[in-house]
Amino acid sequence: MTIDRDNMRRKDLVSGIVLMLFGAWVVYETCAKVPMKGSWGGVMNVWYVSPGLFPIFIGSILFFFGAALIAVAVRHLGFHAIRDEVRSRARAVAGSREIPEPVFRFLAVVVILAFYIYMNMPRVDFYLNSILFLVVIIHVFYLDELQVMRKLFRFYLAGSILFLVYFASGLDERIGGSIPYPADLLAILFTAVFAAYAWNLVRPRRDQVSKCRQAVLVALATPLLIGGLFKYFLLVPLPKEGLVVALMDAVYFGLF
Amino acid sequence: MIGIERLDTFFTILIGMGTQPTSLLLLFGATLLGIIFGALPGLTATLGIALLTTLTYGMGPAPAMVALLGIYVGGVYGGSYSSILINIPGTPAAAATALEGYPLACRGEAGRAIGATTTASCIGTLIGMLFMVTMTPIVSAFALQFTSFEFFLLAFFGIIISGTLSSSDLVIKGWISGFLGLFLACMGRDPLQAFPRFTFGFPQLESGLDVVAVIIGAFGIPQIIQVLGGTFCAGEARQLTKVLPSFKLMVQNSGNIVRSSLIGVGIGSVPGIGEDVAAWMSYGAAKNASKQPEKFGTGVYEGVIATETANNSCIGGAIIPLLSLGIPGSPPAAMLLGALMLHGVTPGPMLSIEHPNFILEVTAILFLASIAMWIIGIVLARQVVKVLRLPPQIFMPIVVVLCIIGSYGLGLNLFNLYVMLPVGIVAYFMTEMKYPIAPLVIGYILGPMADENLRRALMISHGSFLPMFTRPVCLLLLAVILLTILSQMGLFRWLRQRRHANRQGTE
Amino acid sequence: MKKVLALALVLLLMTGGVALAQKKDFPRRDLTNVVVWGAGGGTDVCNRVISAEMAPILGVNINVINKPGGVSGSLGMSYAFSQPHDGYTLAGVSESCVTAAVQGGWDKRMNVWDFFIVGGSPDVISVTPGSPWKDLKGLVDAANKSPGTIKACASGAGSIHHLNLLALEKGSGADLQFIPYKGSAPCQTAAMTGEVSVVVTSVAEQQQLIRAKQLRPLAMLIPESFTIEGFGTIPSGFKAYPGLAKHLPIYQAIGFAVAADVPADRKAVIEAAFKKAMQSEKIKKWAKDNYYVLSGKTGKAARDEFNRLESLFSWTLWDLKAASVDPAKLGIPKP
Repeated sequence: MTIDRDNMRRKDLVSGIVLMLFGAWVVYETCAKVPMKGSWGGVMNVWYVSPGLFPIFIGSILFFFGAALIAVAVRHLGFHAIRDEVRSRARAVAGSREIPEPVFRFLAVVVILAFYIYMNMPRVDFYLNSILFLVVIIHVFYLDELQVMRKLFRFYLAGSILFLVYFASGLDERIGGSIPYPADLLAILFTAVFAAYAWNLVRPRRDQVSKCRQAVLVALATPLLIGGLFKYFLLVPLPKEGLVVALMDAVYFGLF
Repeated sequence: MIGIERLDTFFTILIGMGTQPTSLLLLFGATLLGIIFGALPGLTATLGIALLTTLTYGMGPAPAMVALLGIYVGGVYGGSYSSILINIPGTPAAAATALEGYPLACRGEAGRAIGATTTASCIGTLIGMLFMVTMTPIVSAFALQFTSFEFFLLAFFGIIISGTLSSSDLVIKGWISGFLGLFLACMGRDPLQAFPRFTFGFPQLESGLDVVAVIIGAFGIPQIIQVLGGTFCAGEARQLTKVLPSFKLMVQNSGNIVRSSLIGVGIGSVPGIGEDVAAWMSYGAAKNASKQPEKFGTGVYEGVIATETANNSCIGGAIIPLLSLGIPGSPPAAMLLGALMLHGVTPGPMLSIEHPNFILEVTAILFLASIAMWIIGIVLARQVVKVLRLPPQIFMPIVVVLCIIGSYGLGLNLFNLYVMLPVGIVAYFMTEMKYPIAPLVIGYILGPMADENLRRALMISHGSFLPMFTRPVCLLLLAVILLTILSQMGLFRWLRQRRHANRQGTE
Repeated sequence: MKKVLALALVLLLMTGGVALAQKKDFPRRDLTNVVVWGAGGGTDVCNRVISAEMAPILGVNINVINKPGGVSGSLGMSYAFSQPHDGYTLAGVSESCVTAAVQGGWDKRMNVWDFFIVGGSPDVISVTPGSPWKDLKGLVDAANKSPGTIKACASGAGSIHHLNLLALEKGSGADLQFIPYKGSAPCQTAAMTGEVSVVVTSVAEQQQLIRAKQLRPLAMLIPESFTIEGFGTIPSGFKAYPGLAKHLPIYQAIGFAVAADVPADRKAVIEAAFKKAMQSEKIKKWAKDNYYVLSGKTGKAARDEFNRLESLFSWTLWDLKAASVDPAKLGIPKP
């Protein structure tokens, strides 16, 4: 119980510092940019009408709360304990080689999501992007074996970084001039290679192989179902309509 | 208040609709669609009504109303499914339900929880409807008591309430979370003078953050990380014994239900705020009134019943000012207003003269819709709980795709997705450090209201706070706020004593 | 397995291609109307009605979607403009969209669009029934006696109703205290609660309250008087204050737009359908029920209308210091 609370106070110390900095930044940002008097938008400004009133109030309260958190933590832990803690942490970080499992799992989810949303969502056809995402994330977590997980994730990371370079270098637009949908085709390739790699990793074990099959099936069916529902029933255009959407459009409007 | 004649007309309409197979079919279909809309994260009742508005263009006003109200009732209720089953609220209105509903699901009582919320939603809708048919003039007059000062106090009260939902750790953490929510609400052009705050030059930020993106980010992403990270329980599907809530449970909660529906109708009738606030407020009220407030947050039926009764009774409340004054009381009601105008019915004070039976028709439809919702809900409860049997490592990624396309579809805005992930990561760390997430969402929803109305009120009174102490509703709200704060002080003292005792015990 | 899949894919592609080649030129598939304001608002309802009427004429559906956000609908406009300029994407817009550029929402002028204006509802100035002013003159005299104390509300700074209020002040010399609200509905509610005493919104938004005697209309802000069934005729404010003619009228212009460089033959198809839809009984009845004045302007007439609105709105906002981009830099002429 006490260890738990000690631990929490240590975390509070960190969040308290972050909050104080954040609060100070909010107040500074508001004071620097928001007009406190003069006319704006046809309304005469007085302090109580200013758009800055509310943010300054919030910023100062957050600053104050952050300070309170720090005070509680310092009183609870004692100043010396904190100093030693910081030192030992710094040493531990410098010494560690491999990321511990919970941190790894967290990073894996966040990184896969980040590539899915930030890199591919605006550039790769929604279906192909979602299929890629599902294939990767289900494989990584459903096989649920730390070593396999690490390998698969490293493979995905490498591939995605290649994609990043591909998009950043402007190669996509250049190739797109002569070959239609180059990014989509690459995504299909990557998805297939990833699935094959995963299958190869666990090939000798029947239960894991059947999990792979499930993963691929779910990954193929889900976006088709969800995306189709949104596009043709709810009439919501998809974020990026590339190869597969063009295909489906052609079929849909050819039929109806 | 209502003549026998009106009641007679009401039953004639009710029986007329209830025995017509086509309108019944339409009703059940629309309600089911609404439930699906509510249950899928990112799709809301508002979007459902928008979709049906287009689809019902060719119909007459009566069948169109059947479809629209069906999807409205279903949509508000359906949000509870994803809240209970996966701790990701499908609609803002259902966010409060997740607080108690998900722990219940973790205990394997998802089916019973859904049964209880279904019944509570049905009763809530019916009570809201009752108010609509009997007390429209009074509730309309009540709605007109709200000037800028009252709006500010109401928002302030909602934020204070977030203190009562504070975390298992330090009380102050609830407040911090609330203020972070208020900060998020500041982003974008300010509502009075259109001055851009914290937009950093991004045109995308000018209109502020989208509420669904924030809610899915704040509740959904931490849940996904925790489940896939293997550090958190996913709901369990045990063999269901019974979905129907016991009569005893409902009787025990009768006071709770009445209180929650009153809150729901009241909040619903106030223009501009809706189901989400109603649910949170009645949750706070239920906790304050409860004999065991410390059990809240661990899965108590009182909690889910309070939130679901309130958000559904809000429908009746929101329709009252819509029909009698032409002011929509909540976002889905605003869409309903548009749909009505499309069908040549302009709600407002003249409605009862131009279409004398219209309010009664709406009442009858609401009555039938809530019955339809109850039947579908009880049948569905058994089925939907089965999704929990899917391995979470497969189920959660599917939820991710749904969340993403849902929150994209709401504004067709990729930026919503870009916002979701950072909000989610911050929320994840906050959860890990025992900051409650609920106050963040309340702060976010109520922030603009508090900000805009305080400043406007001061603008009107030329900087004087005096009107706050002379208006009756203001005084009432002030009293309630004071009471809430005082009860929190009591809690403070009690907590301190307990911590003291704890420490002595361990040392 | 994989071979079969690939074969199926190729077959699908081919049927699709063949099917496409056989159909008429335009439109081959559904159109999308991107309304830049929220669902349920005036622009949304108007676009849903006109789209539903045009759809059978064009022979395909017109899907109405909402993409609100940014300033003055800038997100929706940027989105619609970023779609291929092939005539399949319409942007449901209103007059307030013209300020998107000066408010920094996007970097284009309104001349990148071609407009199809359905119409709008004229603005009216009203007071609460408890207030002492019986006509516009009474209000202006009272305002002159104690400048800046009578509270007048309109939806947010830079909205059409705010501009109408400003024009009224300029034309009549009255000085009112402007209280902004988020939209016309909260503004009218505030009048009913007695928080403010003067309201400027459109007849469509006010008609129910006027007929129920919850608001007393003083004058129309257009040169003509306006008759509301069951109430009577509201006189034009121009009679008492001829100076208003210099600043007013500022009409709403709700409708939709397509990118100006869409091929002319496709624009012609849309225009024909639009004109036909505007003649339909359903549109006429809807306009009458909702107190809209139909316009039906297209082509050059519509462009001129929007150019005028753009210059008027942009420069007014600039003078109010509510614009972040100098309209001169955008090449917007002064009104």
